Amino acid sequence: MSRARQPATRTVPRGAALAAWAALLAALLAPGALARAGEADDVIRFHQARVARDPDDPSSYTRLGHAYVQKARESGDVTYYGLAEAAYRKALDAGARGPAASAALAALGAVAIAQHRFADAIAHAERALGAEPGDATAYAVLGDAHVEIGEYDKAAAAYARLAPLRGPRHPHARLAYLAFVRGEPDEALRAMRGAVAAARAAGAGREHRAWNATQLGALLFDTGALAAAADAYRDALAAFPGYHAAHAGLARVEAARGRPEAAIAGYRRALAVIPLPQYAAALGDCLARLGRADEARRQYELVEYIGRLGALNQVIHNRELALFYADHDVKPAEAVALARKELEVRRDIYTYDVLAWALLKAGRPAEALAAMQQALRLGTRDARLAFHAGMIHHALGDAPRAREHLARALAINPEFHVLHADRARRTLATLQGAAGRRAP
Amino acid sequence: MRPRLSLPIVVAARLLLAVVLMAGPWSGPVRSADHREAPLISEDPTADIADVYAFTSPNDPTKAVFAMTVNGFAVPAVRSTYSFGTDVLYQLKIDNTGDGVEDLVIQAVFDGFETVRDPRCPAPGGGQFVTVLGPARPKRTGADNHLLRGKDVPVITGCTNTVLTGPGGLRAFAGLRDDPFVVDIGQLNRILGGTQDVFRGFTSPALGPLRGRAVRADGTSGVDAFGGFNASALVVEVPKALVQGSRNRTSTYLRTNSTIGFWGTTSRPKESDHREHGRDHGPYVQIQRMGQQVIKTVFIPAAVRDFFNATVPRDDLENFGAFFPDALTTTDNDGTGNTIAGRAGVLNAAGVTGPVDGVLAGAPLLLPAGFVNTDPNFIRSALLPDVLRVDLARAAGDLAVGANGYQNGRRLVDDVIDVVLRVARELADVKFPDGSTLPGSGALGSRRALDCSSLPCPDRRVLAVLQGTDFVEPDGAVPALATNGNDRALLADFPFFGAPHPLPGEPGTVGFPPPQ
Repeated sequence: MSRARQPATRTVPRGAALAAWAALLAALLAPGALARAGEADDVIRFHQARVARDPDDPSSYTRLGHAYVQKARESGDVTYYGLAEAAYRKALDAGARGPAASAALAALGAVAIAQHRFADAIAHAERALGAEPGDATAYAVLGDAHVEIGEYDKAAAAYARLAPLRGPRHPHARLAYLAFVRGEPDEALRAMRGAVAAARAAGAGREHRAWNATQLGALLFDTGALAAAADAYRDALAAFPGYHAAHAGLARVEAARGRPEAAIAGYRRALAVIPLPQYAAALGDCLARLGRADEARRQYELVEYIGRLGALNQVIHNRELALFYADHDVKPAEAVALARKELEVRRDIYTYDVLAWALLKAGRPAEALAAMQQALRLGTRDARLAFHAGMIHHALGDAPRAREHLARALAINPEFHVLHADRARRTLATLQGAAGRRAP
Repeated sequence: MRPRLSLPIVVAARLLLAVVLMAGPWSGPVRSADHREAPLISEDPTADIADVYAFTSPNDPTKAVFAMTVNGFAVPAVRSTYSFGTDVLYQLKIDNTGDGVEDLVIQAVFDGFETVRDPRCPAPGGGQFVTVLGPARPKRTGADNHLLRGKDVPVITGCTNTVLTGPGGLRAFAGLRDDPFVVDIGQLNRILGGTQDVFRGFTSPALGPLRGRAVRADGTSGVDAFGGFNASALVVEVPKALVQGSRNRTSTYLRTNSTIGFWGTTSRPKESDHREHGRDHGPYVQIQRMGQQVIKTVFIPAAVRDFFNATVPRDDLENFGAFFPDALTTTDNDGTGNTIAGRAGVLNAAGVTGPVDGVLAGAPLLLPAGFVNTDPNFIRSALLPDVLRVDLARAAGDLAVGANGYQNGRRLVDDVIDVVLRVARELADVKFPDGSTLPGSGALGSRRALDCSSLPCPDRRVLAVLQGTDFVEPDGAVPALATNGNDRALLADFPFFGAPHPLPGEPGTVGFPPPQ
């Protein structure tokens, strides 16, 4: 759920880097980008003052680190994760022990996940559990990291340690994600609704509530419940106005409902907060759909620019960029290389999916099928996976399986993607037509 | 050391980045996060009990005040984001028979939030609608409870941040206030972690140089880790006649017929699914409980803290007695003079009972060297069951330290940390190194003693209590236990908790009091 879906067009992003910078600059300087200071910055300042008052108190550093993480979550700017990491390390250097040490170590693990250093995250979580056996956050980090490396049973075992907890510490959202990838969307929805209610009942922070509502929206979208998804995204925006992930989610719903103009406006709002490549790609697809090829191309250039800007971005956005290339039929060899690189650190079903899709676009459907089988190994009911599987089987000439997967994609969500859904329908029609012609 | 990371630098860096981007490609990092990371889950602030308090009203000797704080470490800048949980049952429990089982409970439940107001609570007051039930006899005692029901149950309703008046002289208040708790956690953690030895550094005549905080220009050395923070307080004032009880309890842990036991609990509905509408009547399952200060933190090992929170006071002695040290008595228990008087001599020789070279190096002895105790279980039986003992017959300000429990009840201003440190250093049995000739260096035998069998002590709690104070207050106030050096004035009348620290930019603060 909430995986970015990059649409397919045949527009090739090339050159015009200046326009990309201009767009990026505009995004950075838009009111939402810098003016969303307010509370998160006040909290940072408060904890900075506390640290200044007692520079050797480990817990003060840990709280400062949490304030930076919150800022990163709200703004999408991962620079703050670097600041958080420094604060957590200061807490450990200041002699944190027991629960104070496990809090800092588990939080370091969470930062490592945000920076896609999953092995480091596991190591931090294990150290945290050594410092304070039973630490709930450490188990959460351990589970989250194992999800990303595709060790779903280990993730489930870690989350099981949290299951007896009541209230906001119960791993509702984490269990929802596991249920979804295991092909149990109803259970996923039930658990995610529990997460929304628990966060609300506990009076959780605005961003926390918005995050939960956005995850619910993504799940609802992935099960084809577009109206309910829109409601969830609007709940998120009510809890935390300007929340970029909710703007983007709502835009995706608008695109699925055939309202590309509204979708374009939504993606622009999300990009004004933080220029994520998947937002630019989706915006480009909506523009392409309306025949605004020049504008679409500028967004596609932005995707590549952001994805390659700086060492950290190349790590964080590896997979998004590979998917983008494959979706848009460009740089097929590079897409495969990126996906394979990602697979070295992240062996979850969605990386296998991107690799499979990239291999297909590189003209290697047999290898694509092997990767796709890994992506489908849990029986995930995800329209994008089914679409990719269908197209791979189609390329291999296996019409019955192609039909089966494409039909499943459209059954899960007839509007799963602004461009791919139509492609799935067209391919399926062709296949069914062929089957009909062959019939006696 | 000053913090190296400051927000203005971050903002400036971002502006600089924008400028750099105009200069050319690939010249700087624009970074952005994908967004599937779930929030950290370490905390459950609305159900996490910070402290409980119980005392006779200083303004009306016929009234008792009971209070509980949650949402500890609440940051003033985001004041409106702190609410009581709407799925949490808050209970103030009273034992007036001496069996460690609640005879009466006061319950509070909440609707709406400070950010999303209950319709019954329009601005400008608090946004949550609170319902306070009791005191009344609960249908079911223990860790699983139900909401009080019945026409005889007193009910107070109204909005947060407002003094609410109920039937029969009851008053209630719920809302964000200054957290009155005071302790130098930073230094305590460093002592326990082994990087420091004592709260205030000095050279002991007997032990040599001990690492600790330096004395500042104003003569203080401690740092109040709770300074500047708020907490959500639930406060209820009750006529003593409603909670006193009549049963003879001199033979119980409460020891006098005028003493009651008091503790606070938080609970959530047993069914994990959260109801969108309506309120569960139960059963509610206990999440946390608290009686006397820092029992869990100081004496209960991390591995059994969840078990402690799930259990009830009645079983405390049996469940947790082994984690508490023996008390010294007037009788030598190991042939080295290991008595209360012997310990007093050790503390005096270490220089931690007064000034050393003109600088205060510890609090004066609280118990006289001639203090009489014949019971090695004195600490255990004083602290377990873990409930505050409140002698309703004593004057409002009478701490009666050590008479029954740490101190008589707990007022907002009590220096409860110094009480713990000063009682423990004089009474807790400690195994000192063999052959050191220190009282307590004899054979351990069946003694349950804190471990200082080698230097520095493996059980760092021995060092943490050595000075009997954390030096947060000015030195002149260290001997007194009825002041704790809180950074904000308390109210003279109900609800007694001081007003919350204001938002940044409001009169009275710039976000944090200036460094000491």
